[in-house]
Amino acid sequence: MAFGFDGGREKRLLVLPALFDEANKLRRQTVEVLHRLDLSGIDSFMPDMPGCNESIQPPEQQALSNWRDGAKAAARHFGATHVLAIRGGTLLAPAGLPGWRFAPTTGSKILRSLLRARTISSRESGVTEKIDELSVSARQKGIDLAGWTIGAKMFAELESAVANRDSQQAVIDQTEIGGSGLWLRSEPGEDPEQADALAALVAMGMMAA
Amino acid sequence: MADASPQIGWTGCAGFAAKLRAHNLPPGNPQLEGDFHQMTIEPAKEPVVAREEAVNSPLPVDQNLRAAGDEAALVSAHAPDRSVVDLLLRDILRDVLALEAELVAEFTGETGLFGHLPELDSMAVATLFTEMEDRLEIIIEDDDVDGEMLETYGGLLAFAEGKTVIDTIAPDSSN
Repeated sequence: MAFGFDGGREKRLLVLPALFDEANKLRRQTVEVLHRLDLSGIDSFMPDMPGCNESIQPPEQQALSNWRDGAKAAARHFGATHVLAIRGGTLLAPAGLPGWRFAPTTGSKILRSLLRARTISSRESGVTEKIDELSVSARQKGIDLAGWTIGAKMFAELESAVANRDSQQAVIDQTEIGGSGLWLRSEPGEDPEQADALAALVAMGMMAA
Repeated sequence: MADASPQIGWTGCAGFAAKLRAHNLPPGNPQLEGDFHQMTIEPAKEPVVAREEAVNSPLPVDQNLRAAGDEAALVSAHAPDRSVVDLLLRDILRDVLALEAELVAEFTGETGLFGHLPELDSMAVATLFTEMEDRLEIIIEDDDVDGEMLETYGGLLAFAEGKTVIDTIAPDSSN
């Protein structure tokens, strides 16, 4: 399954959304950006990674490597000419596809936030857990973090995951579109001005190509 | 230090930190003084860490201080200006809590955080710490996290200031 706008147009954008908790917080905003790109004459496709959203695959059996394969397969399937990867989605972006990495992060930072949320939540309920100890166990048996089931292989791969150094994608930092990152907020939200700015950068790049 | 603000206090405008980063200007720059209002914290209520004015010491000063065994001066020399940490921390809270900059600028040492602000659930606290690590260039350990540091803005600021001092000095502390 994929969300997107397909008008059979020439400019076709593969969108790799943020991962895990940030996926929830950024989905509405990401869709806002895609709406704007549609109005600019750009087709876009945001696939569900295996084990996420509408996918019926078991989440605990997923790994970053098969998500990367999924991203490549989606790029081929939709005939993508460009990619826009957001936050953790940058870890999945096919290196050969030109495009953008918006506010890229690393696998270890994603895990650290999720692990910390779990230790804080456990502490509130009177259970003491340590990030280091949880990590050791997660590498063996996988772990549930913020409602996401992360298998052992996924956890281990995320720990060292960074965006492909050889990729052709330009980085867009949050400062370039103004305001503060919506993934920082405790609730999902949207920001029309930020959506305008990000869509404009991408649309200008794709139209110039 | 001639160009530092003579009063003990902090500057209450979150946008200032962005300017600071954008222009790489030291705090207390007279050009910017008119752009934000200054507030004074009563010393009794003020977190005490790193109250000394910051000096961006070059390495030789470090060595002299280390040689003299003057740890207090060393800490002082490395402590970032308290207003810098304060402003960065307010920026982070504004972003994480999605509050207006004006509201965050009014936070005092006693402003309640965890347990007082509904936005600050466990995931938000985790995000807050991750941003503090990134922007203040510190590492927050499991054992650092206790109720006191999250109870009030003053507690969190004192923690952040303590961390920025420790983490700045730590790389050389084995010498």
